[in-house]
Amino acid sequence: MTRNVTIAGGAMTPFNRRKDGSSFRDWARLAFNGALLDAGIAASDIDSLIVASESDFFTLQLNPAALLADECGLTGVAAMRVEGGGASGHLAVHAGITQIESGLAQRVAVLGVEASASHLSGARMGDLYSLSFDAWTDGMTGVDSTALYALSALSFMARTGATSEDFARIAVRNRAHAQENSFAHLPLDISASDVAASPLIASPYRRLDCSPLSDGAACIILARATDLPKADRPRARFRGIGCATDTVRLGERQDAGRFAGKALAAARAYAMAGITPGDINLAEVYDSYSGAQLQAIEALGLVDDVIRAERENVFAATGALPVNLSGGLLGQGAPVGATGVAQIWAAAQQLEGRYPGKRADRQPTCALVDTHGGIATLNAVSILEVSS
Amino acid sequence: MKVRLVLDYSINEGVLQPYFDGLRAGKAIASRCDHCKHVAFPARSTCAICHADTVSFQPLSGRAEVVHRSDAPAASHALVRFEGADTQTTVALSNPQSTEPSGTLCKPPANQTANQIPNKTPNKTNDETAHRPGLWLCLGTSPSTKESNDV
Repeated sequence: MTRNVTIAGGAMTPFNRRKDGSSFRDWARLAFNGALLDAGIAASDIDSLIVASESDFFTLQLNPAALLADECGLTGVAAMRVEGGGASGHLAVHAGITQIESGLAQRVAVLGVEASASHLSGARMGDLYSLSFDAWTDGMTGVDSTALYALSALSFMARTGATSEDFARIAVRNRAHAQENSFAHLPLDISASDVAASPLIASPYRRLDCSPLSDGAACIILARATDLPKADRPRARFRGIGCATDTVRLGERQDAGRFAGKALAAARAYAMAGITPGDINLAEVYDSYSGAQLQAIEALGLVDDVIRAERENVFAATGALPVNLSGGLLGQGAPVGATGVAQIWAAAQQLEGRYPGKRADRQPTCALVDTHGGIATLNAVSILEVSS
Repeated sequence: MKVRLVLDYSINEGVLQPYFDGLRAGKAIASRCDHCKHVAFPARSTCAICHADTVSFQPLSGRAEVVHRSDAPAASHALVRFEGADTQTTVALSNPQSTEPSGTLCKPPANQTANQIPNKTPNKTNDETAHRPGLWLCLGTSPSTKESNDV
């Protein structure tokens, strides 16, 4: 790719369970208008809208891209909706990059939105999410998301020696990061013993090892710098992207604890960027469960020995490779379609030196963002840098 | 606004119907690749190894060894390998109080209605559950009719 696609601006709503009566249409408009303001452009400058949203079952709104184009005052623009489970938001950004690189569009708004918390009960959401895997096997059996991640984590623990204490450290640290993020769903002051005392969901996972169901929206605007007003700040830009799938059924993987599809997506992104994992000095990774953060870091090849690096605090804000300073899914929250957009937005602001939450001790220059759908079944990776 | 949506799906099973018919009868029917002989359970319509798109169906003993199990107050699940299969699979455990390291495929328990799509209405009989082709394992040396309610 050309390294010309920049993030012109962005915005997000708080991620939480809405109790203020606001609607998902309100959140989408708020994020979109905030992104325009941040980019210093007008709605009339946008020529393409890409909406990320996982499921019509959550909103009871089919064809959401057309609806949100109308809601955002964009009638007449090109529009589409992108979906890939948990990776929906990140894949929508990849679609936007593709449109700009190909010359199909100049200024693309990528708008992720999901009502994962307040529209349906947690139990019914769990039922729907359990169709994210193979609906004909795990879905019919009733093997839910946490059970699948738990079985994968057990396999990872058996191979690597990772412990529940390692997982709890991540659950605690990501929530601590979230305490500095005013948009975060779970800005919790907790200890490892709180994690160990929280209700068992599916061994080894307890409630505090799990990311929450959240409501919210996030939007970023993509464009070449030459198609934007002059900015008085650096802008983050994309250097490489990669996407890859893994077998949908956990039992068919050579190692149920290894995220092989994510490793493939990362290898493609590194090759496109022309860098090695050692060049990355900030990451936002898909921590749908505490242990999945370690499984993801291993698959992304960011360190040689992920367990040792975790125990030596390499992934803290003070470490060589800060991970999930936004709080990640565990802390910031997970309104599915908005998740990947918000992860990329957090990394971009860190690179631009203007992130309003927890910052790395050392100013990062090259960031990796990782998102997946299923159980690392559909993986999207982006590598960002900052333009001078 | 409040909206209630009830959907009754009737989904064709295509070339995998013999596998699903097996599950509904409490039998393990695997697919066997006509080209490289890879045996998959759950059955596949194309071979995961050589990508050939012709498979035959072959009954397995139904016995499976537990590789990992995950327990929760509401339900227990396991990653298992069925005897004669080259793949592993995830299953629900019908008698989670057992700690036996192996078991036998069984029909879903009649009371197995939690965490299921579609949402059950309270007055529905077992007919729907009986037709839901889930993968359930009864731990122990032989299928326990008491635990699995599979007769």
